[in-house]
Amino acid sequence: MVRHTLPAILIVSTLLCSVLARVSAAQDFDVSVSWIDAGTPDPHASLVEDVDRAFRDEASRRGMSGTDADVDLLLRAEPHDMPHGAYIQVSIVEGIRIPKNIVSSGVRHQLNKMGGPSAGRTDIRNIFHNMVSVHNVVQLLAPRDSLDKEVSAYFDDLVYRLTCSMAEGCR
Amino acid sequence: MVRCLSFLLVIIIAAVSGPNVLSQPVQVSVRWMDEGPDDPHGTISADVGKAIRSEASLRGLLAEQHGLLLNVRAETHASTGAEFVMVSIVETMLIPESIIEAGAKHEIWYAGKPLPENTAEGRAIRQYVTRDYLRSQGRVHRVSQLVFAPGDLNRAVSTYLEELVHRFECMTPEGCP
Repeated sequence: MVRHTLPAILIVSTLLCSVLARVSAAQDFDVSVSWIDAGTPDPHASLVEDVDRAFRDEASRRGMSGTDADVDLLLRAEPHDMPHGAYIQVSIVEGIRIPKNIVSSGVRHQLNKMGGPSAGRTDIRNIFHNMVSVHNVVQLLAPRDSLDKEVSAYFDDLVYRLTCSMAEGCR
Repeated sequence: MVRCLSFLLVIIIAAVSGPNVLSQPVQVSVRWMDEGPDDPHGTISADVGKAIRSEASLRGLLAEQHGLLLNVRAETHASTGAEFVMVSIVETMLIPESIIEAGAKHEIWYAGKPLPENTAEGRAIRQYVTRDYLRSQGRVHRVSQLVFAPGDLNRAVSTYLEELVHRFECMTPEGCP
């Protein structure tokens, strides 16, 4: 039990510290935004693109867009007919990406050759590309015309949650 | 002789009576997300996650820490007096166990960082950290959304798993049955 618990605590602490170190240093952090399609053809592709744009615009407005992001936001949106009208359900997957030094070490040790005869042909960078640790899943439900307001409220909450993770806590 | 035949019979009956995990096109593990004891939706997230796990087990799809991890988040809302449940299921493809083992062997978690003491205990921690870390990683493959009345939980879960199996059957070289 201890053998499994200790490493888990170390991992969570290290991930949290790496995010908090940046938060506490600059009092801000970066997010990357991408959306998940549901195969070809995706019946809701245009809606998901609209939602993706709303998130990117909000991140840019707050100066939170960055190529070396602390948190990856993966989005999916679909319309639903509710008794009180047409609503959009947005699923936001908050993920933390594998650090570059670990990917580089995987390349150096040729981990791709450990996955069986065919896996050796795949670059380890492709195996690790877009891999995240799913940290949290948030859902929004809103009419299409109030989407921007909901997205803004979500960003307020995300900033609040990350700020609350700091040693001083929330006030 | 009789004992031996009885034993073989029991094994054959066990093999043909239940669904076989290895014969399924996908194996899943299930995790539900909650935000701690004050989360107003923690209970419904757990209920939906347990329902998916139970149905996956009945269908022979459940295999802990392999294949596809289903991260489940559920919330209860009310609309014009009627309650409904809104669910997001994040389907995440996990890293193959062979790569996790190789990563642990090479202690890649500490790549580029000062190594802890080179003792047996230090090595064990470094390898376990790598294993646990890599097991928590995956590629988000799809997000499925469900909306249903609270009384329809089992039906919604059953329909979702049927659709999931169908999708993975269609991904094989033989295509859709």
